[in-house]
Amino acid sequence: MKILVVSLLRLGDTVMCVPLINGLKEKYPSSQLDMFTFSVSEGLKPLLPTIQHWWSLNYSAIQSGLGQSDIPLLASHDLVHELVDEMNKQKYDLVINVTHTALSGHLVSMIKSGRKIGLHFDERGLPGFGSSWFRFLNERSDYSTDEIFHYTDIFMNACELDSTTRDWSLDLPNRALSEISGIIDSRKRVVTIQLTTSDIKKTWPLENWAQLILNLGSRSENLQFVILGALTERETLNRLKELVQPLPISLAIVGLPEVCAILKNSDLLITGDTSIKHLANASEKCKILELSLGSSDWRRTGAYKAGSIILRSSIECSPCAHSQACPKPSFECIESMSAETVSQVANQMLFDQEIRVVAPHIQAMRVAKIDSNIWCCYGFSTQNLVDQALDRVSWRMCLSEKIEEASASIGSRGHNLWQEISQHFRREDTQSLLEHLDFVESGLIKGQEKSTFSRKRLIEAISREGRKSPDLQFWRMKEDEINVAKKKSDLQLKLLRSIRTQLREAQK
Amino acid sequence: MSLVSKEISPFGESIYSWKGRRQASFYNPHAEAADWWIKSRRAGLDPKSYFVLGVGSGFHIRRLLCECTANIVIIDSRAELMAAVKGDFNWNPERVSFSGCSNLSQLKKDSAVASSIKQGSFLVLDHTVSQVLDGAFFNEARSWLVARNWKALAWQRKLRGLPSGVGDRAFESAGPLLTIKDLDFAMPDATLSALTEMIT
Repeated sequence: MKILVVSLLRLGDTVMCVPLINGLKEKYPSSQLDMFTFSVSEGLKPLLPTIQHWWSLNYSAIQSGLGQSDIPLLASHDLVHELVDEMNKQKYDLVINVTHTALSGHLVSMIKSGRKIGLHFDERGLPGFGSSWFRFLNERSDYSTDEIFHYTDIFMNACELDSTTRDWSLDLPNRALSEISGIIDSRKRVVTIQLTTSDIKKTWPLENWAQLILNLGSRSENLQFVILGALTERETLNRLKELVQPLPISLAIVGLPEVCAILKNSDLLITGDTSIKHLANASEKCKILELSLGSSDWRRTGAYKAGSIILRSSIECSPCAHSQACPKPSFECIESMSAETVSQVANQMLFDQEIRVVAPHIQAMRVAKIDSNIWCCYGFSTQNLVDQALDRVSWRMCLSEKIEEASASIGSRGHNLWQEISQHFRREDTQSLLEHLDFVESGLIKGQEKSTFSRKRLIEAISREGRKSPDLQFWRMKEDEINVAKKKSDLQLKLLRSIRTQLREAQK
Repeated sequence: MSLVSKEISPFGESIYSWKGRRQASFYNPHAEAADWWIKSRRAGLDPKSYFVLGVGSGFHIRRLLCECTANIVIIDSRAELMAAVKGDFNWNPERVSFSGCSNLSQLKKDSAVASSIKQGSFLVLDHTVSQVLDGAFFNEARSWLVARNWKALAWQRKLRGLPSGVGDRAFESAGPLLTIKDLDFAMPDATLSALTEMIT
């Protein structure tokens, strides 16, 4: 079997495919696994030797070829066509497009394959998704929605790898480990810092990083600070070195294999929304503290590892869209995150203390796993965790399972879910959680009554107007949406009641 | 009287002049060629062919041969100079073609030009020293190879056995220089749709 995984965005987006690649290899051990990415992701090649062919498209070169009048008009067209022709020689059985962009959809449409999962277009230009999970993602492109899964979970579920453990491991070359032996001081606790991100809206200021390092350094002498950076960032890194003097820091201007080797030996990574946080998932030792600022969408691309902490601003516009300029006079989300707050949390993480954040407009959230494998991130409140768990598990059942199977497994599902939730639960919160569940239940029942009424009106309209109405397709789509929402809501109610029963029993 | 003259550089290289103008550096033609490549190359674009406008003294072609695996078509209107450079080095005939064209009509009929256009992706590189005395021809040749106008594009598509794609709608939509959006409008296909996404 020949499988092609298409990831045409930034490096971090490709790193989020690592569990998918490892999962596919486990499920189809004799298959040929290939990747198609932009050239920015090629740095991952030595870390993923299971990939046989790594096709890459130089986005900026192709784009500049389109815009410059001295480059033949057909050059970019021909180059893309030639690349796809080469890919088609492989005769793929399965193409998985994990990138939800029109560009990737069109490119995947040109690749011949027996089966396609993820966005592609047919000859009439109509989109296809090959999986209810990618259709779900398509319907939730809106940033304001909270009903969303982590992208890694979407990839895994869409490829029917839902029960496969998310394996983030990368093949670390020995050369990388020996390269970093001169950087890491094994006698100390290592705090690794990634200063920059791909977007100014997501980047915490250099002065804040300096203050953070000084704060942490003043609390413990047994810390080593390793600062990661690219060659182009040397000046910034040197400036940081000056700002934290006389405290020593180690600059690591290295390639991705060496970064992974550093993370393997780190105790804590502090980073913005970067590819580095996804690479850190492969390290058993390294805890992750993510500063989610600007357009960082922690709900879809947050640090994946259970126990990671995500600090985010709770101002109303957060997270904003990637393409959108900051609507505020200054980056309020960045300003609200002080060095003092971040150093407090970093210290608590380093020394296994309870995480407490006392800062206006800043929310600390912990990453956890529910329903065996599903990522969720909650604001240290069981109510919040239960809400997310109910929402995601019912969606998961709805998207992956037949309704009869899903209903039949509610008892065991609810039992397991409660076992997972109870690990994050304080007994003194029992009463408030019971009240919260009653409140959620009444909301769900009201929602169901409303949707039953809407569905009735739709059916009436369809039978009255018949097939002649130009709105028929829209109505049918609406009807489907209502049916799915009803199915999901039924499952959610059953799960809620199962959890409430167990909670009441625990109360006795 | 010959328009081409030849000097031997201090390092034993043949340096040609055209109408008294040297076509390469006398003292360091290889460094000049390396510099030409740095300025001319399009990082990230690896075409199947290069059209080089201007034969010069051939040093830039030799550099290009080392830098890529693409085929090279040299276009120049100075037949005498071209013959001199052609005979001066052991050019690989499988990769290098010399197309002596002094007008557009000859360029359009040239078999090496047609073959490279048919083959697929290509880029056009200028050797400006060569172009000083015959700028009009080189400008026209560049314009037809770059094909950012409907007539040149129709010629290239015809060479590839494709319908010209030029229709009234296309003429109406286009600005002074054709863009990929104009093409997508006139003759949509999946590749053009993908490329259009890169500029929106």
